[in-house]
Amino acid sequence: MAMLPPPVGDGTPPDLIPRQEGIPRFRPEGRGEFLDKIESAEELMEINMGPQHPSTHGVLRLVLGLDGERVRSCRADIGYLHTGFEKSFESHTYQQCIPLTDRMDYLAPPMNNLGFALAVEELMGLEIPPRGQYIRVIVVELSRIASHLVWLGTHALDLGATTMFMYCWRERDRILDILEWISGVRMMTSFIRVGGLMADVPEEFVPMVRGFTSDFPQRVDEYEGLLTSNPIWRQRTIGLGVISAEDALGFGCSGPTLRGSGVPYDLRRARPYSSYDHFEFEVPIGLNGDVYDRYLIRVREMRESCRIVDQAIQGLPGGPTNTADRKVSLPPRSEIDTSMESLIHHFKLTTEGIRPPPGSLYHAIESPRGELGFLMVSDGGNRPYRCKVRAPSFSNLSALHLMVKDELVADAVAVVGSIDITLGDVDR
Amino acid sequence: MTLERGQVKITLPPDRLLEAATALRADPGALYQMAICMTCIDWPERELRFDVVYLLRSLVHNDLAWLRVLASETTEVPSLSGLYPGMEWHERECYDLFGIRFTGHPNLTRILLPDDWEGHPLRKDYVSFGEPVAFTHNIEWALSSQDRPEYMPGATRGAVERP
Repeated sequence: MAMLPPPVGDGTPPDLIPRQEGIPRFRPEGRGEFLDKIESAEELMEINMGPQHPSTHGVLRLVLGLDGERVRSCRADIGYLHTGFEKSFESHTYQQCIPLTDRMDYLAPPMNNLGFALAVEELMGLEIPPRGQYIRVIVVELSRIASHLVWLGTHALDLGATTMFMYCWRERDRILDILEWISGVRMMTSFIRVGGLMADVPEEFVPMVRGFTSDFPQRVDEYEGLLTSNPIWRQRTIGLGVISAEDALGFGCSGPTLRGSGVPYDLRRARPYSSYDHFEFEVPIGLNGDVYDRYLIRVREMRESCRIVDQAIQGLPGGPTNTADRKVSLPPRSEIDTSMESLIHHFKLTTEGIRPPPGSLYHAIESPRGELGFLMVSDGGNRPYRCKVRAPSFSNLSALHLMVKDELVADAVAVVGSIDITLGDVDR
Repeated sequence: MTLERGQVKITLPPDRLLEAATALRADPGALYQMAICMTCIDWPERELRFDVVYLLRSLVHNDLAWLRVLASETTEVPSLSGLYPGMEWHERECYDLFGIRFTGHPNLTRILLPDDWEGHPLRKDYVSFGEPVAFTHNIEWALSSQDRPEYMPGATRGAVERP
C-alpha cells in the first residue's frame, strides 16, 4: 500500500455507520493467484449462468465451477454483443462516429460522446468555450447519476429489494426528460459533438436542472434509508466479493471498483478535463473492497455529482457553446445567407467533415464505470485511422473470477451487480 | 523514445518488451503499476505492419507511457499478462481482432468473436462491406455476392455490385 498515491478529497471512507459485529467476513488465502489450479479438478460441477440471465444485465455467460454451493472457478464468456464499433469508426467521418459511440455504454451515452469528442479535440488542439464545457459537465454528470440509478435499482432488485427499482426509475426518468428537452432524444442523445454541442440549451434547461438538484439529495436519503443500514442488505453485501488494491490495479480496474479497494484514483481529479478543476467535489473511497463499499461509493458519487451539477448551473457562463473554428463547427444559419466563406465551410463540413492533423493520442475520462479511454490515430484524413476504445467494463469484468471465488452461488449475482458492467461496453 | 502531446512513447524491439515493462513497473521514478490497455495499429504498407501498443499508467506520478513494438504478421510478441494480469483479456482481444501472437500467454484464444471465425477483422485488408441480406426477391444475387471484396489501399469500405 506504500506505493499508492496520497488520498484526494477528504479521504474519509464512505463507511459512516459502524459495522455490526458478528457478520462473518470471508478472507480466503491465496486470493490473486491468477490461474487457479482447482479449475481442472474433476469433482467441480460446471453450470452456465447466462447468456440469458436477468442478473447479468445484458448478454454475459459465466461458466461457474461449483463445489456444492461454493463457486470455485468462474470463466466469463463475452462477445455476444460485439458490434465492431472500432471497425465501423474507420469508415465514418468523425461527426458520424458520435452516434455510434452512444451505443457502446448505453446507460451513459453522453459519457461516450464526451470521451470521443475530447480525444478528437485534443488531437486538433481545440479549445471549447466555457459555456460549452459547463453544459458538457452538467450533461455528463446527470448521465452519471442516471447510470448509477439504473445500477442501484437493478442491483437492489437482484438482491430482492424490489421497491428500489421503482424509486430509481422515477428519478432517472426526470433526467431523461431533461436530456429529451435539450436534444430531442431520451437516451442516445448525441448531444456532445466534436467542437462543442449539438445546440445551445433552451431556456427551460436551467429551471429543470435546478428543480432536479434541489430534490435529489432527499431522494438519495430515501434510498439510503431503505438500504444502507438495512440488516438484510448489509448481511448480503458486507465482506462479499472482496478485491485487494493490488489485484484491482493489476487487472486494470477503475472507477468505483478500484476506489472501493481504497485507491483514490479518479480522472476528474487526477487529470481534469472539460473544466472539472473549477468544481469542488469529493472522491469517496472504500476500505474493504467489498460489495457494500462499492455500493456506498456509488451512492456518495450520486451526491457529489449532484453537487457538481449545482455548481455548474450556478456558475453557468454566457457566450457561445461551440468553438469558433469554422473548420470544425458549422457556421450559424444566419451567416450562410450573407457570407460566401460560411457557405463554403458549411458545404465542406457536411460533405467531407473535419480533418485532424496526423498523430496519435490517448485521452481518458471518468465514466460511471471507470476509465473510458479513446486511443485515436489520425492519418490526416477525415476518418479515424484507428480508434481503440478502452472500455472500463471490460477490464473490471476481467477481475470477476477473483471476486466470486469461494463465494456462494447466490452471491455471485450480487458481485456481478456490484461491478456495474454494461455489456455493450464490454463487447463494443 | 519520443514525447508527443505530453505522452511518452517508447519504441522497443519485441525481445526487450518484458524487460522494459518490468523495469518501468518497479522503478521508483516510474512506478507504472497499472496497464490501462493494449492494442494494435495496422499500417499495411509497412513491412513490420503492426504497432503493438501497451499503455501504462503511473498513479503516483500521474503519468502515461506508451510501449510500442513493431511487429510483422509472424512476429511473436512477449505477453505482459504475467506482469499485469489484466492484460490477459486485452491480448486475447488483440489476437482475436489483429492476429498478433503472444508468447507466454496462458490462454490465447478468441474472446469477442466465435472460435470458428475466419480472419482478423481490424486488419486494414479485412474489408468491411455491405454484406447482402437474402430475401426472396433477391436471393440469387444475395447468395452469390457474399464474398468479401478485395482490399483496395486507401479505401475504408468495400462495395458489392447491386443488380
